[in-house]
Amino acid sequence: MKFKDLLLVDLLLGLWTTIKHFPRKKFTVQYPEKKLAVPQRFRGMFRLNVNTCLGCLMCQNACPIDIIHMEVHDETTPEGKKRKVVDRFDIDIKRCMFCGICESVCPNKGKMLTLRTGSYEWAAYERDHALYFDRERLTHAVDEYWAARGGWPEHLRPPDAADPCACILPPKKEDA
Amino acid sequence: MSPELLSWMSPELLNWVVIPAVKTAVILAIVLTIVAYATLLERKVLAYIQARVGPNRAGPKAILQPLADGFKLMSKEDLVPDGAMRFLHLLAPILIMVPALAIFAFIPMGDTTTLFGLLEEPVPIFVADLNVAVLFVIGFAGLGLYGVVLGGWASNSKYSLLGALRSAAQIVSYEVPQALALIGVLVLAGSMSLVRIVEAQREMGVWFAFPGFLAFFIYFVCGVAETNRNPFDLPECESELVNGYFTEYSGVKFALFYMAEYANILVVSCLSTILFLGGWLPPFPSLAVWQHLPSLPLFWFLAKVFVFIFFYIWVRATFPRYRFDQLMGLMWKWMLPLALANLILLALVKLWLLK
Amino acid sequence: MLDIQELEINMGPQHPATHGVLRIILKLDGEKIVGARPVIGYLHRGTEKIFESQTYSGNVPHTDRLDYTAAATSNHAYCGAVEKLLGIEVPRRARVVRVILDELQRIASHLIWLGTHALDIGAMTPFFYNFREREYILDLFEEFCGARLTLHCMKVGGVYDDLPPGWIEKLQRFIEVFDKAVWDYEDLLTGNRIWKQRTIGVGVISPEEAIDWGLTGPPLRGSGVKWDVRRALPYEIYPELEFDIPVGRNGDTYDRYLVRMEEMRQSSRILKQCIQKLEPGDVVAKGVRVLRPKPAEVYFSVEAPKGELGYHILSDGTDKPHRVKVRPPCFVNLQVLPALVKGHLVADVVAVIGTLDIVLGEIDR
Ligand code: SF4
Ligand code: SF4
Repeated sequence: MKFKDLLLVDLLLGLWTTIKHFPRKKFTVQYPEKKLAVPQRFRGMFRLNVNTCLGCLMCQNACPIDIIHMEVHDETTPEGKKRKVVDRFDIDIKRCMFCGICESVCPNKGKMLTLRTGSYEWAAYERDHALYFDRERLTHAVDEYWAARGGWPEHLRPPDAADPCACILPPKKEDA
Repeated sequence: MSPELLSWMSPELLNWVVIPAVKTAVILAIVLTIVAYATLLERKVLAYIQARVGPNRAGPKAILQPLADGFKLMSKEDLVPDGAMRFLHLLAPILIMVPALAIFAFIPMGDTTTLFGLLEEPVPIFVADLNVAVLFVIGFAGLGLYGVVLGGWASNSKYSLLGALRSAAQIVSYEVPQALALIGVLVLAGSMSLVRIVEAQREMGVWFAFPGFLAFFIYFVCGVAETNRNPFDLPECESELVNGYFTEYSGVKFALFYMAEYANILVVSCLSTILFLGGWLPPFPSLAVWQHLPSLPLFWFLAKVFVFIFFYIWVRATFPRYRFDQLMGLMWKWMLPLALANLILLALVKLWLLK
Repeated sequence: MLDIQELEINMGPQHPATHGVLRIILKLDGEKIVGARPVIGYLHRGTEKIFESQTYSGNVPHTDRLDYTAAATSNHAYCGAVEKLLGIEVPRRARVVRVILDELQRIASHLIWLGTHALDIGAMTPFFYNFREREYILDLFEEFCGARLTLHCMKVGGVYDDLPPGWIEKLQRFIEVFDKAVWDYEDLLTGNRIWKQRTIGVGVISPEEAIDWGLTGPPLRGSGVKWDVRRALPYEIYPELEFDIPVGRNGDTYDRYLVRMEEMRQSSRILKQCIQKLEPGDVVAKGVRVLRPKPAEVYFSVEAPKGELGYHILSDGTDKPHRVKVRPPCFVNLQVLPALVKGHLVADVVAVIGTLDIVLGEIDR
């Protein structure tokens, strides 16, 4: 045992370290009042633009847990072009791990199906509100989310976003 | 309050029943409020030390947090585990709370007060000035152990049992050096009455913390052990024994255990203040300045107690926890010889310096 | 004569100090431990079986969920194994980025370890300081790949995206902050007599025993064996980097603590060098679309924060692996627990669990 030990230097050093932090700035963010800005690449809730979706089923096949369920039918546009119309596009959100693979395989990444919406407050009062998203919810939910929060943040706004969500869904096969 | 109003009472009734009862009620109210807010203080100070803000939602600056905690705990279901001894399970939190509060009867928070001139005769700010108060305090503090041991035993849980065992081992280790440290103070003061001890510090013009710095240190360390606080929170350390002896408690009983911890901290802080920091005396009581300033006994007393409580919290935030054999080693191998040496030292000091 | 029985207690699966759902059946004589038996499997999700039913690229997010405190190294080990299977050459920039991610992850994982280890031994404040610094790292990850914990930040052939603009500056700022913050942890713990009493001489394991048990990572190096996958079986750009491999002397909890503290400093040193080595270029190998390796067998391992994390993949010519076997460092390290705690007190069990730095997601798979 050294003389230094008798003076409790080690203990005093610890006390000094903790009290040093006492007056310092605190790191807590008071959540509901203040929110952290999410970076552009943040993987939030899905947003689907069903009109530009090619119906190529790449996302459905790539999803590691097979939670994207799609049905498509072929259609010829008035201009004579062949295209696929998405009748069903469901994502079983409750099982999704937000890995982003579906987004990364989508042709023209980020335009059709995207996770980069910066939205994360998806707690819901109704039990089935945020469990299973169908075509309509996928299209509108995020737009509504940001509309309720005063519009899209600039760094996240997709080019086709309109603030009252104006997207018109293509008719499904049985409707046509 | 004018004397006529009280004139229907016989002086015996007044002096022996009414005034002590009123004082007891007032002191209980003060103590329980301090205890409740000590929990808030602890959470706030810990939070500030740990770079966070702590509770800040219940009322402005979390003023209502203790109330909210109280309501929460009271509305919880009172669970008694299967196979527990119901009576002892109920008795334990009471046994730990009552002695902790009883000690406050002997703690002088100031000498006398006239309540800003309301009373004609000054009334002492303590319930009883016992001539063997120190013995009483040590005794009552020891009684708290029964609460811990019974709680651990009656819960029918192995973790609680281990906590109780540790607590029993802990108390035999810290009580001896603690008592020896106190004897040093008694030697200096020449009395066992807490009021006399403070008076003695006034007469000698020096806080006992200076001549008795070793005793002060030992008493503080043992006090941490007595209140089961980090770094000696072995009976309840949550990372080993879940919650030690009160693992199986919930609701109001849990609240009692929880409050008893803070009541004990308050006891130890008050005693340290009285024994070593001159109780309600201002710093360096012999200085001439104090003659010209109003004497604020309650202010000085509470300020010193606050410093102690803060230090407790600060220590808790800083240190890791001792192992229970290491605690016993520390107490028996270091604190006990130190306390004995200190006793001799203080006796010599008393003999030659502070006649 | 009293009938003296050994007390048998269940530590876990719900216990504040077992880091997840580990259950240890302790046999006690008073407080002394005469036997300890870890029971695992509470977090078993059949990940290795899931691997067999998914494509090679679809498996990457599942690896996040093994060691969830160090997802980047899990991704790296798996992607590296698949790349080895397919013979894919990862572009240089991607290699540097991967090393940056790995080392950040190592710091983040060690910070969790330090916080929880200190909390177990009763020091509550380091936990908050550690998590404050870890938060910076998670922010960096979030900005890079969009997630904070289950990162999925690498893909077979490289990484998904290039570093976002301004990221490197933030990284540099983090390194500055971190190099200072480490001293706070040291001041709080390293010299502290209580910390020393609690850790020195607890859970000692000799170098020979450590090798016999198959330990890797800090538990092995704490015993003085200088073995680190980054040096022993070098991968990515580690051979070009200068860093030391800290080793302990006594093989006790305190030495393992010192080893990890030093590793965090070395990681920060590596990060500084990596920033110098970043050159513009591709971040993903060209022409990696459909992954359909020929029947073969590979083993690839990286130095995860907890030890050697290896993936053993058997391919059968389809786009799904035939069998994937993970060599999780935690699983191997956990097995010495009974040997380490025997004869110690209950309080030491938590110290030893902490020093082994286990994550149940990886043990149970
Ligand atoms: S994010 Fe991942 S899990 Fe979720 S739908 Fe897309 S591919 Fe599937
Ligand atoms: S969302 Fe993208 S990947 Fe999925 S079907 Fe539409 S275009 Fe194809």
